[in-house]
Amino acid sequence: MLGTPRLAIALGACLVAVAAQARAEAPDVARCAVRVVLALPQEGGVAPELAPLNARLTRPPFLHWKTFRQLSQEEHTLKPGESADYKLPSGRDGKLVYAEHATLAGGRHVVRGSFRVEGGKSSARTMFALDEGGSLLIAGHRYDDGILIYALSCTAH
Amino acid sequence: MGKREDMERLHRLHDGELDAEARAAVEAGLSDDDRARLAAMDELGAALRHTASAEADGFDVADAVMAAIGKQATAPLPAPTPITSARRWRARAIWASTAATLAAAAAAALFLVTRPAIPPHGDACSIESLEVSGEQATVLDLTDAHGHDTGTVVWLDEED
Repeated sequence: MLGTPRLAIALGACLVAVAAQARAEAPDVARCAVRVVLALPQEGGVAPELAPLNARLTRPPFLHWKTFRQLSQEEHTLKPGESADYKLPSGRDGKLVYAEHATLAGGRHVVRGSFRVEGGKSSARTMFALDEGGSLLIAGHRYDDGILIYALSCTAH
Repeated sequence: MGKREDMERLHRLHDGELDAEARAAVEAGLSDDDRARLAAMDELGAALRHTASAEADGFDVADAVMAAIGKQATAPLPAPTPITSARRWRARAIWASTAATLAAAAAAALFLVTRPAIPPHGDACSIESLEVSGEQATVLDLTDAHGHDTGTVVWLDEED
């Protein structure tokens, strides 16, 4: 029965491949974070806890702002379709919805979802497809002599 | 059936592309997660249908941002001016706002966004749509001198 071990090896290899593929496509649960950053025009630098965003905050369109403070950071683990609510310092409410994780051609992993900010007379909902680990910055709301920057990021593992 | 096929069927179910028999079969096998995904698709789809966003390919961000700067010129806060002079930052602008801004956008021959292509890599983010009320929004997709994606910023500008 010379063929039996080979068959078993082949089947095993197939199972490993299928498992690896399933693992690659499995990360349905996402860990999403929203940082709230206050940007002020006076000199002061980027707060240490904002180091991951330093490169983003020190180039356009933020060059006129010289101080960046992190007001809050919240992380939530979300399943597809779930949302997380955020109380924002401006009195607005934020809602992050995680829609899905997708693997694109070339192996890129993206997360799709939406972020709604509302309060007062205004609201904005942004629907995005964001590279896993990347950050989407939503900025411009005025607060405390500066502006707020909402930094969104998600990883699906 | 693989997960990719499951997702494909779910999308086709959501989009009404399945015949009655296939629809019944897929619906019978829906898990809680699948239903949550369908709900999310509904939300995103509804927002897309009502989206108030527009895009101009090749649109110089300077024009879009200058409009925002002009709006902020009387305000005490500084404006996001650097993009206007840093020409090495290619940007695509999506301009969305209330009806008045949409009218201006239409006049500028912008066209509706459905689902723009996702940038190739890095800190890439594709804004699939924007829905705004009481403020204006400008989407800046930024790249460096080498054409590498350096991220996306959605700039919100409250209307007075």
